[in-house]
Amino acid sequence: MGRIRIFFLTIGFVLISSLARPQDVCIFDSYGIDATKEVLKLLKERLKDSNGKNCRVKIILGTPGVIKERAGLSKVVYSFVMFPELFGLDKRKNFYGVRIFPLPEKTAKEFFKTTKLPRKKIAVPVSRENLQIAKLYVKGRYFKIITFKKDPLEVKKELQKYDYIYIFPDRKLLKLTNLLKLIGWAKENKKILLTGLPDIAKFGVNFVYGVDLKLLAYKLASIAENEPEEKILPCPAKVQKWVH
Amino acid sequence: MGSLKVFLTATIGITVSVALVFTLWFGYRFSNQAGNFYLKNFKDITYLFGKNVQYMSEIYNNRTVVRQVLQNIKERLKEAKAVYLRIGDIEMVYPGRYSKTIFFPCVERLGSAVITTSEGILVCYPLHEELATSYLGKGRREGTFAMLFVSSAYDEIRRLWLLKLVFSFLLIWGLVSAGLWGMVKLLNSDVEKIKKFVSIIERFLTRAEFLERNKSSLESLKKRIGQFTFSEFKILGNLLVNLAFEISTLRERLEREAIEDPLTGLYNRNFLRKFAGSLVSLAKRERIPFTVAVIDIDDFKKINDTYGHAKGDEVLRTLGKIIRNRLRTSDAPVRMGGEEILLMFFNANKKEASSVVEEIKERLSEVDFGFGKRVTFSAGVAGFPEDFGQSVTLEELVELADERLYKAKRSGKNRVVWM
Repeated sequence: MGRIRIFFLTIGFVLISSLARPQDVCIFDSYGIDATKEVLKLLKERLKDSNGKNCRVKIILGTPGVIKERAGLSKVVYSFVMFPELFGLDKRKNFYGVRIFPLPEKTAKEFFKTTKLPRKKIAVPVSRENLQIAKLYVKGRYFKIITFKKDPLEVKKELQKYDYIYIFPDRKLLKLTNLLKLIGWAKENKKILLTGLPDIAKFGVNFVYGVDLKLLAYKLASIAENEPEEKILPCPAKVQKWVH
Repeated sequence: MGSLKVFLTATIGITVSVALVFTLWFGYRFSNQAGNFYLKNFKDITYLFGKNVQYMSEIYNNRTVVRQVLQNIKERLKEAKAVYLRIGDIEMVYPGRYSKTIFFPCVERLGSAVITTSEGILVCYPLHEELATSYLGKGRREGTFAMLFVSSAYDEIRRLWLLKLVFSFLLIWGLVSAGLWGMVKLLNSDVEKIKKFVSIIERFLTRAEFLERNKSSLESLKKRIGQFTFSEFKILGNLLVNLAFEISTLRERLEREAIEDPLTGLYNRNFLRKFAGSLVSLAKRERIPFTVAVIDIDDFKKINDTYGHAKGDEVLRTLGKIIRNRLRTSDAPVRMGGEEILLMFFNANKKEASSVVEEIKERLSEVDFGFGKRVTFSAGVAGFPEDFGQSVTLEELVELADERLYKAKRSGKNRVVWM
């Protein structure tokens, strides 16, 4: 009897151990932009992508993929979602994210720390339709939100009062024509432009404190493998440009 | 398989028909592609003008400026019938006489589209916001730009492409067909010549007398070989004519050898059997004098026994040569066997024939065969109608001549007896 019991125990142990595989990770890029492609590549170097089968952890890049995701038992790790709180991701079970842009306050701090410029108020032009979002993210003593309807230059008199202008990820502001008009005006009026979006550096923004994609990939992989302490982790950013 | 002409004609016919069908099919497909290429141009033009209008409206945000831009586009492109823009709170059509409802299908479409309507070709281009950063995802749709093009331009380009293609292919295939047809004609002409050659040669081979009479036409055939177009047929024609020549020569030789004695070159008994009877009958019917002489070489057995058969053959060969040289072509010398020779003289009496025989005998006796003794012969001569009256046969004449030969032998040899 003893031998039979040992035999069945051994079989059971083998079956259970075969089920206890390391966590399979699925990576999904719903944006398909250069930055997400690079992060995807870095993640695949670090993690084993199971190509959508038996996913215990899902890493989703881009807002469209995250919104569609209905979390079940699996853990969802996301990034490239500009305003995760707007979609209630901070409250969803098993959802963990990394911010894709540093919060404005952090950017301002880095700006003053790096540039050693006098600590003055920073103007934040925001369209009326994005005012509520801006209020949610633009906090702290450094900022003054100035709203416009269609064109940021509608409020150039207001902007004229400030030496620094923060470019908030506002769709209306970031319309190519609007941004170029604002940058043109800022150059003429010797205003310093700062932002947390790395890919608008090329248009002539003076200070860019943007996401470091290598660090972002590392952070996402860490969350996939371990349980994070926060639901939304801060953006792993670095100063990428400072021109005065 | 039928004749070469039928085969080639059928092959060319099928090839040209298939090529024609293929040309029409290909032309239709290609003209459609050309049309699609034209449509792509419409799309690209619409895209470029759409972007232009979008930027202008964003920069100036002024209805008058936007209207002016639309007017410029319409006037710059003669194929454009109308231009439509809807962006933000601006919606306008230029020229104003066109209803906005024409452009309604564009408003519904998510992507760019080409729609054929009763008014023309409608090209829709959805306007999306152009963002400076990719981190916000794709730009949202903020309007529509559309252009209405005249459809006749599209139809015309397709029609022209189809016409040009079909015309080019028809021209090429027409030339190819003409070339092939010419080749068939040439080939057929050579085939016909070969057929003629074959029929002439067949006639040669089946009718012996035809061969004799038409050797000259065989020569003319040989000259006509130069008229063949293709060298292969020239070779074939040459071969056929050469074969016919060869066959006719062989036949001649066979016929000659059948009636000729190879040692003396005189006729043999076959000739006597085949022709002599009819010759005598002819002489009798036409009352032509006809004489025969039977010659027998004196002591021929002794020559053979003493000096060998080679010497005997030499004597016979020499005698044959003398006879052939002396006799007329109308006379017929026949070697009857051994050393006995029969001479037949047409239109000659016994006296005339005997003098010829005497002369032959003289010439033979003058020949030195190298054994110190002259060779002679004895001969008996019989003639018609001198020896026989109304009716006589060759056998009767020869028999009489034979009797006279023995008479000559008995009288001491080396003489001609004709009485």
